[in-house]
Amino acid sequence: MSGVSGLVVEDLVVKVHDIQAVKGVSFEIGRGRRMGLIGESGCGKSLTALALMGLLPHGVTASGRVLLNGRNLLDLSDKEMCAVRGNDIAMVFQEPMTALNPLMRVGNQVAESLRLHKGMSRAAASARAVELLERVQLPEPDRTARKYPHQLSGGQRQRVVLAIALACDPAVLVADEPTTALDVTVQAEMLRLMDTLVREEGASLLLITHDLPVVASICEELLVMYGGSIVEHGDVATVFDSPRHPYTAGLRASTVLESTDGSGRLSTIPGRVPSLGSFPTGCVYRNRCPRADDVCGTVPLLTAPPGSNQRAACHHPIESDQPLGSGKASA
Amino acid sequence: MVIYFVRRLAILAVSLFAASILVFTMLALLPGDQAQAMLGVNATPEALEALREQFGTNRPFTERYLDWAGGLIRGDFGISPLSGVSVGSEIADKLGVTVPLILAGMTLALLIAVPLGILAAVKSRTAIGTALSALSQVGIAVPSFWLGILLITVFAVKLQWLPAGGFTGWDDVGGAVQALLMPALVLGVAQGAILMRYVRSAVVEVMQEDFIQTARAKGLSRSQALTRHALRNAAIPVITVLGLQLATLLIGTVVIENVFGLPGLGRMLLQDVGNRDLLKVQGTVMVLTAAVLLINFVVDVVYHAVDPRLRSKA
Repeated sequence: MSGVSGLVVEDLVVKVHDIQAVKGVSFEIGRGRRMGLIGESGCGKSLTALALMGLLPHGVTASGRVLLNGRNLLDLSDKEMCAVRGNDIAMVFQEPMTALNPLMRVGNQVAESLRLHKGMSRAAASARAVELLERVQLPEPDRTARKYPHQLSGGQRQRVVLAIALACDPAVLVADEPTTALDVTVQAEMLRLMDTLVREEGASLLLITHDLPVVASICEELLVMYGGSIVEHGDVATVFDSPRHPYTAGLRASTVLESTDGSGRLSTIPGRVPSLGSFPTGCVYRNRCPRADDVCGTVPLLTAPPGSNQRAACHHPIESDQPLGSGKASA
Repeated sequence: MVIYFVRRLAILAVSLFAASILVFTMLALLPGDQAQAMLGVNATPEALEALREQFGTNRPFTERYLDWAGGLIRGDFGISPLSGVSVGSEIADKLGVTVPLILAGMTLALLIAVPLGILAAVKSRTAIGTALSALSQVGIAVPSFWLGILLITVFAVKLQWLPAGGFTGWDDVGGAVQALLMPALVLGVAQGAILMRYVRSAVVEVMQEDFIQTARAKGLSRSQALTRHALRNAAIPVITVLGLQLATLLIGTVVIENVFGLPGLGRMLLQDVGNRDLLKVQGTVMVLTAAVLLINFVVDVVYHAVDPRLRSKA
């Protein structure tokens, strides 16, 4: 982690009613750095994102610390948080088809943010909104600004959502599965655009996805989440090439084409993600892990071997010269 | 939008034409005729035939229809052979009671339903929300006639602030307003309670939409997200219900009209059906049908004004 800290998350716990869905997550994204957060559905990725934004649904609470510009966002009132959201920390959502108000011209939806935080006049905000639509490379930004969401394609809508998020030059951009709902051809463009803009703005990026190659293409660091805990953290290249946690290895094996299971199919991680509250005690992954034994009944700490910054929460981490724990058994 | 408006207007015209045929045919096919009803079962065939000749009911179907429909276009609904009054002016008279009653009642219903429905939605997880929902349930459950009688007992009999019933016409505006005050209140409470449930559920549903989350992520407070993004979206289903309510009330006010002794359209229709005054029934049903078609027309046009998705499909 280099440079001034952008966003620091310390011991973030998110409870759904009384069940811990995010179990004390800590990480730090340096200013201008790009962090990937990866994991299967239900591992707590989206709740983490919503907790950072202070937008958790009713009945879901967050504790711990989320530090941005020296303030703990979790301590702020909703009114104070309104001044932060969209201004210092912004978010891009998964579903471009439903993320925009169907009854409002997209230009106005972008301008709204500017009028709110920058106190711009209607005319100035509208003009700036057109510039922003141009920055996200929408064709004919002038005309597009006057269109309604249903007149745009999914990819175009997601660009509008990105323009809204970047309108006030936020220090942190949280993108929750921003490309999942898009066509594969549009995905790459969208990622490239997001990468470019985040670099230009010097913003920190938290990119949440279940898609390892997506993270690999634009992030520097990678957090792997499973069962509400961070199970591995390190540089993207290192984690991707030689994962230490068996779960990361399994994830990688199920996305990389060379690691087929012998029958020509992609390998899968055995079992399924348990439902909230039914994860095993101790290591959350031990009921699906090929390396699990009695020691795994205690919670493993997120530690790195000497001379490395690749941390893994595993009692039996994979060493770089060993074969991967799962998936390659029959290869 | 203009093209849509013109097209929708054309559809309205065609619908009215079709409705006139339907109304006329249905009543023509009804067993028993006016002459029989007037002269009774012991009438001689000659007497019946003479009366039919006088009413013109023995002419061919098409000729009678064209005569009637042509009259409608000129605003002439004919003269009732039974009572000898002009059907058109009778209907206009009754509409002068029913329409102001409905408009006042529904305005009141909106004034009750919109703020309370929104409040119930915003506070849906609190005691206030539950209390408001319960209140609307009570409003729906209370029978209109009972509430009407209650109001009469309190405001007309005990306090003597308002007349207990009757309607003296619009020549005395003050008196007319006084006469319509309680009936409009009863109508407003009953319809407002129903509408409030729809407002509440529409707002609750819209507030869970993704675009509200986007709005909140921009930095809008909950109430800003509600007023700037949710309400207009929530209005769409509410407009539908409002249109349906208006259409139903045109004769649905008959209970209230009876309780308060108001000479309204619903009450007249009931009496005319009883008397077999077919020409009046026919005219009244036609006016009601036209009103329903007109309400639907307005609802559709309002939809288009509110929802851009419909505009681009047209």
